[in-house]
Amino acid sequence: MTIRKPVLLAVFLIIVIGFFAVYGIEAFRLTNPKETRITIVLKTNHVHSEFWQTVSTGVQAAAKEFGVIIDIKGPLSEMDSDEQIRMIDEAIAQKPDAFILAAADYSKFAPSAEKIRESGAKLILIDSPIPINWADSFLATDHVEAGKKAGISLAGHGNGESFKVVAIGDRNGTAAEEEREAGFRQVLSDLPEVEYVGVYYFEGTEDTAYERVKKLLTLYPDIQGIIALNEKATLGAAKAIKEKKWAQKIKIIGFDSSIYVIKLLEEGIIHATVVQKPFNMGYLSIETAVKALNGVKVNPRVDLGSNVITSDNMYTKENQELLFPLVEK
Amino acid sequence: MRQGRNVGFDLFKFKSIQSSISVAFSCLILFSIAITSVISYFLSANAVEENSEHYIKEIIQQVNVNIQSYITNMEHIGMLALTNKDVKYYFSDTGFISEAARRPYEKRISDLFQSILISRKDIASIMVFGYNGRFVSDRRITSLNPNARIEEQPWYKNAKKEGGKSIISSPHVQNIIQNEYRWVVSLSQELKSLDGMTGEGIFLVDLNLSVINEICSRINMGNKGYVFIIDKDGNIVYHPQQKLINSNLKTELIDKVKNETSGSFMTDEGGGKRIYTIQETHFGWRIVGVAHTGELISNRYQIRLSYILWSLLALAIALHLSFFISRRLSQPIKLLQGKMKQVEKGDFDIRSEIDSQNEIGQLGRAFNIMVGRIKDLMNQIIQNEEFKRKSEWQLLQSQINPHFLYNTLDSIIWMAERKKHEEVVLMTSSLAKLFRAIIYKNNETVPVRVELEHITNYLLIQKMRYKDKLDFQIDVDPSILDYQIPKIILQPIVENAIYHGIKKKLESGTVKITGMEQGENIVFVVSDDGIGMDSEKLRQVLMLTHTSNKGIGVSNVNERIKLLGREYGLTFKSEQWEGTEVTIVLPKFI
Repeated sequence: MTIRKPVLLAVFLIIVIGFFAVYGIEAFRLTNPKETRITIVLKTNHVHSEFWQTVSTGVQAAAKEFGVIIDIKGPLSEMDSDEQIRMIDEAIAQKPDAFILAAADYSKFAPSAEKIRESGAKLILIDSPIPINWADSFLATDHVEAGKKAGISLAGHGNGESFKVVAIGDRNGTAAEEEREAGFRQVLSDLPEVEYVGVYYFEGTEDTAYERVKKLLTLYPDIQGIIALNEKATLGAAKAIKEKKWAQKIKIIGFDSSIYVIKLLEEGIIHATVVQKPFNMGYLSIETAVKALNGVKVNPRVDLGSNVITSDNMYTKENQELLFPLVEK
Repeated sequence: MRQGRNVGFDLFKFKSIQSSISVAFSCLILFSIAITSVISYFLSANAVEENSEHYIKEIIQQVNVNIQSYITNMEHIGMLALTNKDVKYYFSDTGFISEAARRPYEKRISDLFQSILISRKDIASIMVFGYNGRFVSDRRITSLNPNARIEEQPWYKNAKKEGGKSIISSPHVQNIIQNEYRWVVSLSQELKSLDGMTGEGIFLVDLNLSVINEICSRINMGNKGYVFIIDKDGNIVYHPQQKLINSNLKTELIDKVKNETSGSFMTDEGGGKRIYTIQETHFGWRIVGVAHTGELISNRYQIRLSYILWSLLALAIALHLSFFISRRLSQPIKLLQGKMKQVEKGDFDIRSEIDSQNEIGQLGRAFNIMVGRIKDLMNQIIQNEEFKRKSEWQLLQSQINPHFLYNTLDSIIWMAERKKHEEVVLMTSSLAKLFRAIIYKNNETVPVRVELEHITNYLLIQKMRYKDKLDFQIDVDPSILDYQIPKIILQPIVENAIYHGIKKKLESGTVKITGMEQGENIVFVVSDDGIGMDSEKLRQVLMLTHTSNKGIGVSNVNERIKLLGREYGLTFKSEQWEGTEVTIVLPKFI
């Protein structure tokens, strides 16, 4: 007997073990697919914040596509960084696989980020940076680039004659506004015919912006271009120009959009507005997180891009999506 | 290298039938199970795939029917409005309506539109733009967006261009009403004059996307599969990832779909093998179903899993069966082999216990017969050897038979006392010759010549002892003198003749010995004319084996001769008072 009992037994054992191994693995995979959970902390989850709601739509679209479980959080106010920190602490306890964070404050989030790192979760920053260098990726609009686009849109209209340009910004404005200003200043400094007067600050509301622009118009009646660094500034400036019926004389380039901005664009009061792509921000943040979780190397800095919207191009397919994102289709 | 090959080769050299059979079976089973599982897996996978393709086609057809009926429905609503007398009149160039009369017209038309709108939740708005500058909508008071350039909008331009045919736009934001920006699909149609020739305005129905979305999004095409619709210019009417496509995050094979007629095609552009199934509607939309082939067999994993599991199970069973069968086949052989080994060691009591009727059973029976035969032969040999030893011993005893010696010596003494010198000399020399003949070498056989010398001397001595009472004649064919015969076969018979025949007779008697060739045999006949023997006596003589210490029994002689062959031996013929004749048949040996 050259094939001995132990050999026979071993063969049988191997087959049986193989049987159960395959069965077990498959059964496990079929019943227990690895669930990826991602927590998203937005600057605000307020339903009236069109921008963040659109980010949220993008997040949901990606979550559906990639089959991840998401938890979207955000305080009611865009400025409530303490609430965001509290939300991160709360979420860490549930051990999500990744965090997507849109920090409301530049400096306060270092300890929270450290906690996320300790929990082993991936960290994707969106919209606003925080002072850490190990986040897996940072997805944001390149505001300097957006500012340059605004500058080009303003200057491209020029007919070679010199013209005067002012910028108006929020006194307590975000880093984004500074970057926009830097961007278009860079473009304007290359154009000798443009005289850049400087940035004038208002107190954060549409009304104060309006008052500020009105004053500026009396101060510099020969102004031909206004760069409004945010939506409030855009609306305030537009109101002042509309009142003076100087729309033909003064071009307003704004940032961000709202239904009011759209109407003013249609009316021709605002020449152009530079918009971000919040849907892409939400979608790509999840995509990046999923890639990072799957061990794919991700780009540490993603520019989401921006579009210059004018009355001529506002109803193109892409721009319609950007301007009217939340209407249920 | 060489060694390695040898080792590898040795793997397939099996030392037992069982391993050869089981390995051969296992290979065969493994092979056939693998082949059948793979084939049937692919067959069933194909079948499932075909079914799913068919199924998808039907789904798309269903979607097509639903959407067509929906759009047709809308067109009918349009017809309802367009054929309305008020509408026709109000927008006709020829119809003159005073400024004051316009309000009631507008009100009636508006009421009509409103009643349609109420019955249909999916209609966002109904409007008519007359080329004569008149405008009516479903609302009493409508402020149009002064900045919306209506004439430049695609739904307006296309309807005008098509002249009477209904036009369906892709989803867009409708901005013609002030402060309203809604995503709609616009169904527009040019209003014709009564003669049906000249256009008088554009009729617009804006549809919420909900109905189309609902029709399409409810379709289940697996996890990744989906349905999308494009219009004839390739604009997306509906796509589950419309936002992603419009935002340039995703692409769709719109060009390919646009150029394709109804039917389906396969692609793996942009990740994943997919089947696009296209159906064209009569108004130019294309409804496209996209299914991931990997998902068509939604339970491909389960199918594969169950195939693997069943094959493994079948394999395990089959392998065990093969071991079992090979064991069944080889077990009796192995058993036989074991028995053979025992036989080799000398155990002849072994019997194989195989009772099957097949070849192996026959082999077993043959083995049993063979072993039985060997055992018999062995026993015979043992008996023969034993007998030989005994008879040799007896022979040795007889060679120096003390009684015979005493008697002879007594006779010599007796004759010497009587001063019968010649007789003493004769008897002594005969005795000496007798012993010489007995000690003639230490062989079992002697030439006939020596045996005759021996018997002659013996008879001489006896004759001297019994004086005239005994006579003898020896008549042997000289041609047989050189044949070899067993030692001392005549003496016991002659002795028997003297003691039982002649001694008891009153008169003298004669012992006659003749020897001749008879074919292949040598035949000696010892006859006497003594008193003979009755059958009882004869039996006694034949039984008289080694009990007598007077010499070797007649039966001993017989048995010794029988060792040479069954056909040889002694034959007795005796007649009471007449005498006895013993025939000795011996083979010819040189």
